[in-house]
Amino acid sequence: MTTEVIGQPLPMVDGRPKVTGRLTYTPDITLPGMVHARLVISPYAHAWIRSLSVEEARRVPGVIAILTAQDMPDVPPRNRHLLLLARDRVIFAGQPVALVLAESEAAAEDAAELVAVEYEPLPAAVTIEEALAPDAPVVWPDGLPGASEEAAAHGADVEGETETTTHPNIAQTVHFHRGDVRRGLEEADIIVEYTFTTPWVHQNYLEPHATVVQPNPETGGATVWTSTQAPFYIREEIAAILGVPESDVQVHVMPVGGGFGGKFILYEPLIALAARQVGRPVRLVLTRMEEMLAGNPAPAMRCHARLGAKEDGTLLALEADLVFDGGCYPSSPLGIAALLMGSYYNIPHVDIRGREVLTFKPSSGAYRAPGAPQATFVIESLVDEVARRLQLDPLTIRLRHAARPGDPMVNGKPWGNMGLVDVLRALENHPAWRAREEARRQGHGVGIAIGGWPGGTEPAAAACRLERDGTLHIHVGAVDLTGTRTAFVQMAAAIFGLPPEKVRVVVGDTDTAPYAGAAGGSKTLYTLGPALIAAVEEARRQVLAIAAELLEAAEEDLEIQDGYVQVRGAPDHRLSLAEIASQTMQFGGRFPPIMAFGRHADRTQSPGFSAQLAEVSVDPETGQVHLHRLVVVQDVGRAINPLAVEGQMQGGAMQGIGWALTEAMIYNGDGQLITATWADYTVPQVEHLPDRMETVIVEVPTDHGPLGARGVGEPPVVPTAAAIANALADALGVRFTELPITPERIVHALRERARTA
Amino acid sequence: MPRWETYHLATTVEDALNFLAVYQGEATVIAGGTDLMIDLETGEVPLPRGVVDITRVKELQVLRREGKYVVVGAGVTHSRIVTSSLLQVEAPCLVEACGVIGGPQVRNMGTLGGNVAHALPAADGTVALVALEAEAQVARRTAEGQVVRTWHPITSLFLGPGRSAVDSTRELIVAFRFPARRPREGSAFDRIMRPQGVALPILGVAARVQLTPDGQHFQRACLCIGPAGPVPFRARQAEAVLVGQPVGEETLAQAVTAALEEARLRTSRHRATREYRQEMLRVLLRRVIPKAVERARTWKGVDTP
Repeated sequence: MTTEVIGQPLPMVDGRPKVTGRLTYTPDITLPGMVHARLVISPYAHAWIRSLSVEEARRVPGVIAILTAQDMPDVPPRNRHLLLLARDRVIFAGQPVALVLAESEAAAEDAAELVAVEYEPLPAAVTIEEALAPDAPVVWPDGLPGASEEAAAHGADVEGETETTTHPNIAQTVHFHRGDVRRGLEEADIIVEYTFTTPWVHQNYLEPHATVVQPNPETGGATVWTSTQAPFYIREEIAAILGVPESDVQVHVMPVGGGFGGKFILYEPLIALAARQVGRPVRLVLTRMEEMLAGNPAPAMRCHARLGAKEDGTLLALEADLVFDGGCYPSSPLGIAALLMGSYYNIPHVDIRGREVLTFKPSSGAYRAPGAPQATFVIESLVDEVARRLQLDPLTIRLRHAARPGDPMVNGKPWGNMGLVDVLRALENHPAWRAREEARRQGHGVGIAIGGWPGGTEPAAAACRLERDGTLHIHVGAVDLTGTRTAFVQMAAAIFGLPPEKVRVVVGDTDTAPYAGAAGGSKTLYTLGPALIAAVEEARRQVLAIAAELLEAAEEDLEIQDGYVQVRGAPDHRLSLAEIASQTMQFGGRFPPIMAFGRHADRTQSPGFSAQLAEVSVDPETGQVHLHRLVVVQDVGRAINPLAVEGQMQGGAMQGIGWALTEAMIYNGDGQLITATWADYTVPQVEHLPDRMETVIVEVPTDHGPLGARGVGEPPVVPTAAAIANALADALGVRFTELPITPERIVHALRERARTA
Repeated sequence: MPRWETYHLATTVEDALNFLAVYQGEATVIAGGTDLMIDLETGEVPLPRGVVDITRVKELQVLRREGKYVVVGAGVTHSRIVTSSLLQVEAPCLVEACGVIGGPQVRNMGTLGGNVAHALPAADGTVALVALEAEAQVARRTAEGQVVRTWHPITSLFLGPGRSAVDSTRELIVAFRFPARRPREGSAFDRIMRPQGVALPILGVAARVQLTPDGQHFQRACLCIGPAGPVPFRARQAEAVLVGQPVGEETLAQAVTAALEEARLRTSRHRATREYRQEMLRVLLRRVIPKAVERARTWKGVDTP
């Protein structure tokens, strides 16, 4: 293996077409005879549909059909994407009640405005508190239609105990415990106790949900182009709703303009049914407001928690009552959040009870490390507060208690190979940490936090073939969200012995590509990488076998370098890969074509951890926060492409800044989203960037990932909000328990402090 | 289904008003469209039958000193105001206010006339114009078909939030004028936003002050606060406190107290509470007035008593 290309900051293979606007995304797909779809959505969070008239809308020139629940199969809506079109009741503002199909986007939009729906508004429980009231309106009065599958897709099978629910709006519970939390709290010298809240937050990918479905009248199946992270899952669900075998549904693996967990499945089944109904291809592209109203955002959390410690800083007991607001379906990452909250540190007594509460809002989806930023905000604020009150070094107290590989998680299972301690040590040596006293003298606050993600697993396969021109083609079925294709090129080039420009990754569709799971849970490179390595190694063996015959040399004396197979020590005695390949693809040729496969299934997770430092200052008059520095340390196992890895670290931390300071989906008392545009909802912008964002890559290799690599995408968003909150606590002496920490909250807290001081 | 029957590119004020007259109240004026298009989209403004685009009317693009006035055409974009060296000297508060409107795209399209015509109590450009004691020239067509242009104090244009005295289906704002910088005079604007920089501000304040020849007392003062009521708010009591008093902490404190008493600050849910606005009014006055004083002191003209 020539390893020079591993660890090189190669530019993204699809970077140029992306920045020049030449890449074809789903909304760019236009098919002959294609029809445009527009949703008619409910303006009420909870209402009976009394009547629905489409007559006026139908008269708009160009309208082909207006579909309602009557045109949909009567399937039990066990999941959000099976709500299709509302039948008699709507349960969130933004829920589709009709679908207009027209010859042009404009006609569809005009007609959608003319669909007359008569509603009888009903009371809606919007907040956790309202939903838990004894007489609360119930989201599913006849029982829950079924659990969501997306949580499992993110590797969130965490095995906590479940408890009997007592309120019809409680969708799931979880309970983790070890030791005796009551005794632990009794023995504690100090107890810090707060109620933390985090709001609904949207993924805000640039490309909205977009789907094109072409029906196949022969089979009853369909061909699908859709902006999803999970093409094979889409195939499964569309086949099910159409009632055809999965093989009759073909899903193209499309470039995705951002997903962050929010793009698994949403309106694909609805559009597949619509396309079959009208017998023409149908395209739906959501507007930004529809994204905000009816996407898959991250759920709100409320957590009351206590952490008890000895005077010397020994952490004794953690008790937490964790509640997620899942919206209208069980969908929140309750288990994973509870597991992470209780497992970062070795605390002898832990008791975490979690509940998911349903409200009249859209259901939640995964958002980059689902549940982890929320859980980490809780535990990392508590640990920091213990250190602050005991005047202990916040890094030392974390190092003392941080879980090592093999230490038990709160579910009893051991942590796998991981670098939590290593990222803390790297932060300890970072100039920003060492210069913290100097920063404090300037009136700045310095805060740190850790956080991680357990990592996902899923079986995967890859194929590899050598083309006549000597190019190596790698076939995969995974969506490239984060630069994985570029990493695949580097791995294949290194293992085969080719320059990277002679490797091409071909992303197929569900008919032609080897299986790969959803690009999510930080597992694409981790699970597909080993399959790819196996395929490339096998292809290399096939090449060497042919070359040995042609060069009349032993296989073990051959090497592949820069696209040539040569006899070791006799570089003149060589054949180009193109020459070898051409002998396998010609009339009367002697050798079989080079074609290899790799398969992989390994259920061992390799957790990824990040430690971060934030340095802030605050304008005490206005409460405006200035971020001077953000240091992002992360254990990535092995950075196959450090450019892509650093991009992930920076992007994750930037989203963490949004969690910390700016982002919130705010619903009013009627369940109306009042931050439904980007003018009202604050996606972090350039002005929110820290003066310096520094990334530090730590490499603690794992035996289970390719070349030692572990998942990179999720960890960097996890600790950022906590690190910023801790920096603010350091600067102001105030503990912030509500995200986002807005200027008004800061001014209010400072005034409270002045009043009580 | 087209949005409107006619989209007319007017070349003169007369042309634009004739178009409006033909449509008898069923047509409207569009300049940058940065507010209007959103209102049409959300249904807040009913769809007009005709639209007259005034961005090609030369008369609306004036930006110059005319005698004792500075004249800014209603069609001048925020971007032009921000880069104007004339306004940098004459009215820094207007430059500062227009510089924080929207993002660069909105500033390139949006016009000062549109900012005023929308009649919001906290529109940045408007708040600055009120502090400059600007007047607006409104053109309308008489029953005989003649076009008349009349000057009005800018504060007379606002009837309530989003309600302008200028009927954009019959009348047109042509230009604004305000007194050119007087000796020892300076102005400033500042505002508090929610964490992002695009939507409505939490509070904006503009000040224009003139100092006495000794430079130690306030001779004139004009303060505008928004939102502090249904229309842009002139803080006349605070102004009265300043005039004749020495420049300094004590006067400033009294002016802040007066402003807090007279301003009708409200809680707007999810944007800001009344208490936070009061806090921020204090902060903004303490930033804006001293900055205006500082600029007043940079005046380099020859003092003629």
